[in-house]
Amino acid sequence: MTRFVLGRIGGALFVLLALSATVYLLFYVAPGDPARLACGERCNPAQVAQVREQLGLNDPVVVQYLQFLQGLFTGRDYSGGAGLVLHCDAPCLGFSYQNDQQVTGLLLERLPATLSLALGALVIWLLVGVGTGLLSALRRGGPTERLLTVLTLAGTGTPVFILGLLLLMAVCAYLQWLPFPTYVPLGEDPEQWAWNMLLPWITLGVFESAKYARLTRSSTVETLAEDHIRTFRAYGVSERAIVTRHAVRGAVAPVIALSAVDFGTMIGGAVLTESLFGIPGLGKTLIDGVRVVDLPVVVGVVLAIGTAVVLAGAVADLLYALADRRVALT
Amino acid sequence: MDSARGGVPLGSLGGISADHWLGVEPGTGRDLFVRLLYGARISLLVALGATAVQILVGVAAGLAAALGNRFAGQLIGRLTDVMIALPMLVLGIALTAVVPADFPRTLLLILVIGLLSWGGTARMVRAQTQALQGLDFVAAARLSGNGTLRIARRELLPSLAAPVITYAAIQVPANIVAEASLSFLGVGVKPPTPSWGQMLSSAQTWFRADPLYVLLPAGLLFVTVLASTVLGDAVRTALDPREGSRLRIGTGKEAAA
Amino acid sequence: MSRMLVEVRDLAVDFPVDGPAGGPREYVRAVDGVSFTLEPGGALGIVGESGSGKSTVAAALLGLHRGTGARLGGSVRVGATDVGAAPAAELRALRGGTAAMVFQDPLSSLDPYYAVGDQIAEVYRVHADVSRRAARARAVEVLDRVGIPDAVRRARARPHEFSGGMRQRALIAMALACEPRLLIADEPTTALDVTVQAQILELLHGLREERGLALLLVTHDVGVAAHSVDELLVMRDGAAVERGPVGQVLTAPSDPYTRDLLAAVPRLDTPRPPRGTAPAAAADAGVPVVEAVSLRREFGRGKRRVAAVGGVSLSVRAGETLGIVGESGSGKSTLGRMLVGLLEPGSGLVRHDGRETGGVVPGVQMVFQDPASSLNPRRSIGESIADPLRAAGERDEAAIRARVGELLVRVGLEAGHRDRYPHEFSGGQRQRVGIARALAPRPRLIVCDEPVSALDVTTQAQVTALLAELQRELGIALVFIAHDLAVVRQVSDRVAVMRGGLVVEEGPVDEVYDRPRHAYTRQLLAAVPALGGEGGIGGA
Repeated sequence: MTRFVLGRIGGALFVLLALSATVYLLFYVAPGDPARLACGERCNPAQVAQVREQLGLNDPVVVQYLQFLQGLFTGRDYSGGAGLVLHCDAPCLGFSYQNDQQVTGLLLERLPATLSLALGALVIWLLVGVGTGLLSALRRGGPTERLLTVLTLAGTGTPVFILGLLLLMAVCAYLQWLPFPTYVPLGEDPEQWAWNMLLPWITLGVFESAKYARLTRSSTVETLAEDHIRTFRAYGVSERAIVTRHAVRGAVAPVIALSAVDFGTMIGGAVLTESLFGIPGLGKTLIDGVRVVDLPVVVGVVLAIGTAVVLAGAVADLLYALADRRVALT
Repeated sequence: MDSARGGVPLGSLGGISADHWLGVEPGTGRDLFVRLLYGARISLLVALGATAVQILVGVAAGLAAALGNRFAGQLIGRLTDVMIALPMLVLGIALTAVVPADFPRTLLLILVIGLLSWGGTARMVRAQTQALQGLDFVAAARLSGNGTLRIARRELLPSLAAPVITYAAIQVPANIVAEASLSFLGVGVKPPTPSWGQMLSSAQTWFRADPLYVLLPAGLLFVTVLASTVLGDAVRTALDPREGSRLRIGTGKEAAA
Repeated sequence: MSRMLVEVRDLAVDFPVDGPAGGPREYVRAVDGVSFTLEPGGALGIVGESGSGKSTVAAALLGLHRGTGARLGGSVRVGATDVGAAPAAELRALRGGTAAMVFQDPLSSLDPYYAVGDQIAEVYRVHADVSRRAARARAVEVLDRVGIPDAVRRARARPHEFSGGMRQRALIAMALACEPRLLIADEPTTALDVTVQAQILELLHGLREERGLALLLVTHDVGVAAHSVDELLVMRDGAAVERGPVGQVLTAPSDPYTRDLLAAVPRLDTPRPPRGTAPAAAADAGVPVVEAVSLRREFGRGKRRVAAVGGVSLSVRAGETLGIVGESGSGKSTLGRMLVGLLEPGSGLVRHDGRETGGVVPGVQMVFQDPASSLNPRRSIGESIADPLRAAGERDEAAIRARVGELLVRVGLEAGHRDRYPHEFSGGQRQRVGIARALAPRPRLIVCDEPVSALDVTTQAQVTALLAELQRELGIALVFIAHDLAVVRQVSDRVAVMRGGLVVEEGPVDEVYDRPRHAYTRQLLAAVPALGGEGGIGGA
């Protein structure tokens, strides 16, 4: 078990290192001129040259990358020109070209909104998705199952923004049950927070539910075809007990593992939902950064999201091993 | 076009008329029907192109990982894991930020989606190849004195065809969604080139005044994705070895059986 | 109402098959007009080859076909229950309560997620109105009875923590839990090694004596049945061909099929068939075709590193057959793969014709266990047989065609079969194709890895005879790896007994079988159920 955990952590670190190198190379080295972007439209060549010197862009690529890594772990000082020194704290991702804010601080500021969205969606897909999957496994062959199959099939393929747009149109524009959502931080007004998050939660949660319904149903039905189910049938155990006690057990590990992965992805990856509902989370930060080519912000968000995803993957594997003891032992 | 109200189409249902069967686009007055048709072309072109890229790269990487020496296998395997772990959408968005503006967007989307999502194909091909290599008929081919390449060509590739085709069929709807998502976020194809996702993006601001402008591309996207999902499922069923009685692939002798 | 515990009359079972789309549903008949009775405390064996319908009969006794779309005809009565007509609740009471079933594969027959004791307790609570705690106690009690050491602790373990034999004991414990009157055992020892099989059969026999249980034993192995039951029912293609007391069926079979079946069973207690010209002349001359020197091979890493083969030396000369026997995990297959060069030895070396070799060498071929996976399903069998010829550089299509035809005829198929595909052949025919492919490049050595263990006993006899005949005729060196001692005895000149990666005993066949020196060899030989009918552990 220890060996398994260590191996998994080592793998995650490797992925992160590979990611940081790739992203750094792509964004700082490949095309365009970061110094010009950082300096802004109205800089003259002399100013650009100065900025280039400050950012260390004249150093060899490897040195630049190592300095970037060093900044991540120990912090880093930029010379602001005229003897001015700008200090950038420990997980240093540089300063935004737009407003000179520290990127790390900006990301931390945006994280709560993303977390609010992901947590609510998690609750919904665990309840709705897994519930639907179980129901259709219990009602195999009946009209209920057929209906649920059609619904989940339709749900699996629908892009999340279509669902969100339609909900917005129906609930806010026509029925006017809810105002158009605007993000209110939880600390400011919990009630308003919940009301405004309701539609994004439903959108993302229901969208993800289709996948979980399919997964739960297929794992359960797969288990039902296994030999040990035959044993319990042959000993007079009722069909309901077989499904709820034995068959469902096979779905637990995959559902937990996939939830961990999806939750991690969502910490950064709910770009579409955040963008549609104007939630100021990490995903929206990324899109805004891309629009104005704010490279430090883009690199920072990508690394943060990558970290979340990789950690979630590692956690998922560990949870899977715990839920399905056969994996770690074989 | 009612310029006083900011460009809302005149007439009912977004300006449906004999000239404009499905009305016109708010703001610009372009014919919606024509844009939907051209949008379909872009969406499908990107989806199929990206699928082709990802399958080609994935099969090559998977085969190399399974057949290469230990070092190459480990390296490609690790790389595959990295590709699978990373969120394609996020990296795709970020990449569009650094690519020069004059790079053709359609080609860019094909490359971004295709090159960021070959990991799944590679992992599947590697696993399948390794499983096949454990089978006795491959051992028999080795004993007969066949080299690695000859075994790959004669014994492995034909058996890989079915799972790869299945995987490709399932990837098409996913890539349609990926293109639509990128375009919806404004980092995909740029107007005036239409794509369904990009149309939905511009429609966001109009859905109170012109609901059809939202509903039409949304409906088409939904139906297309659903149809290709169902098609992918059908392909999987048809090529599933456990359903061998329905369709025997590659034997060519069913009539004699 | 009769005093019989089981009464089956004219049982017929039809399974649905996929017919043409839209057409009426089609059925295949799996069991056709089988009748038998079993008295309380009696023991009936149902024997037959694969596809004979024997397992279907066993499942029908518990009404397990309900809800699967199968059609049942005739009547089945177990205890007081009419299985065909009983309501669901009565059927559930019958299952496990009156009649309990033990399945073939003990690993997959238990839920991997729950402790073994909890699973037994769950089943017990279906039939007895007791508390959870009492049910657990009962589980420990029956586990203890079937010989699980330290039952209190082991009851909390999950199935994967048990060995194969222990799992089968646990399944038998589950069957005992509800005090049934009938035990139905469907191939209970087929997945087990021969020494473990002997223990399980002993356990079943003891339980019958102790509790007056009736036993219905379904098996393909006539030897296993001969030991454990009083009466035999022989099935073929869904129908019962013969039924009678064990002694009578075994010694004086009335049906021709029963006679064929019995004749095909490899035995340890009959004189060996003549082996043709004595290999002595060839054996003395020249260097061995293959020679292994201190071969070693390990698998796994760190703590889990185990030596599959831990230092084996042997040699085989032209015209000679070396049999290698051993139970699962003894390293015999690993050894075989190293001999042909498919697997690199960890240490030690392999010499072919006196030269040290690494990797695959010409003139060495292999016949594999599973005829389904040893032929490429996408290639015609003619192409598969021609493959070694083409790989060796033969370009003359007419010559290849002639050679393939000749080989097909030689292994008992027809030259015209060359354009057919593997799925069009039966298991035995596919194994013949595999042999033809191995013969194609005129090899000096063929290693057969369990070549007949996936085949039915009558097919097994034919394939074994074919191999022996070809080996004599062509003078090749043959290594015959198998777990079945009787089969190895039939074909081999010398035999090596393997255990835990080592050869514990090696010598001429008659010497090893008649005067085993090593204790393990004696144990193995004693565990093989003999067909004699008299003198067995459960006989008479």
